[in-house]
Amino acid sequence: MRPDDRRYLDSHEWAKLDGDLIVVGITDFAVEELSNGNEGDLVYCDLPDVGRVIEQGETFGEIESVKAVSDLNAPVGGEIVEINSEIEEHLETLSQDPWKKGWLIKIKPVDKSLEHLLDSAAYEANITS
Amino acid sequence: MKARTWRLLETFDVSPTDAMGLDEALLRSVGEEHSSVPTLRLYTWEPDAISLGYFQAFEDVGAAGDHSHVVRRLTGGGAIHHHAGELTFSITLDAKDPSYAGSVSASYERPHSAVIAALRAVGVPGPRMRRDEPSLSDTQGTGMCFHESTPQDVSWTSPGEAHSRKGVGTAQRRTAGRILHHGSIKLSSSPLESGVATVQSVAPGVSVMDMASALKAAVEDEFQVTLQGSAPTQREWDRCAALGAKYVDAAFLHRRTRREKRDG
Repeated sequence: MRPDDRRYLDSHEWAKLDGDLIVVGITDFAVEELSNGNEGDLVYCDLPDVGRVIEQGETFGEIESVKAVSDLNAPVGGEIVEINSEIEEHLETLSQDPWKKGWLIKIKPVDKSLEHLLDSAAYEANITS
Repeated sequence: MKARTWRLLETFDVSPTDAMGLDEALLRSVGEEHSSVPTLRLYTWEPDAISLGYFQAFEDVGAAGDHSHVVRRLTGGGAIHHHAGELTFSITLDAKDPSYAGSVSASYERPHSAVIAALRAVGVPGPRMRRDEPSLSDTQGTGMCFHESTPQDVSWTSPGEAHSRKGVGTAQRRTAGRILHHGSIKLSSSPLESGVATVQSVAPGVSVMDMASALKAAVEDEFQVTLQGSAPTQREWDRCAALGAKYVDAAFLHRRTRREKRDG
């Protein structure tokens, strides 16, 4: 079961409320799909510049594995106020701890509600269907 | 009668901008009107061109600096020289399509099986995914796709050699629940990609059209589908026209990632 303290997109990003900010990452399922269990298969993660304003659903970055480039999509709209630049140098963190140390960006949201996203049970059902 | 139909597009001798613009148009139209089924597109380039991988730095590909026609692909990996002795293909489909079930890695198995069957059909002896075998075509520092191999890359052995060389390049883009799968099959060699496996080196006389015919049959067999010949819709051509220029735009070709900017 994935953590129930956050919400999910069916494109495998997660969003967690942290004070006034929304922390965004990708799920263990996404990492596994991209890397096939081999953390060395993740090649590059391109994150946005701090200060960029994004809309809900907009692509904010891209991640490349040995065999695919995939979009990273914003669960909420707002201003990107922080990025995890460590990830760009240490992609293995995504495999080792996608839920905490593997966060990607923090957004100052237009609206803090995450109700439009999937809860963990719905996300779980989505990836097992 | 096979259970499913896929759309088949054959667009030979297209310009570099149409080569890439139409693939993005097809990717965007997955799920719309005429594109609710997967599309197999076969194409060749005129004039010949270099395509860079999505994240490659222009200056990391020596061959690009000396070439008149360079584009950047939506798919990752290394650069490819698309010349007269090369067949390019793309498959565009919904990411949840059963044909591409499972992880990214698993989703390569069936297209590669089809390519391997097609290569066998035209007379290439022993084409296979190289798995743990060393690749004789791996070459450092060129930035070319065919000079860097992964265990899943389709390769074959030339007479007298102990190991294989890479002869097919593939990569995927996954966006908005859709997949663009690119493939490149080398019929003959290019001085920009020296040392790679080619079809004609082991099966002389096989043409690009022979390879295209074999690939169509192999895709039908592997995916148990009937390919229905078609043409891009007007909307897809319109999108291609709108999108194509991006691929040769200097800002896109010479763009620098955040990390490159930071590292100077």
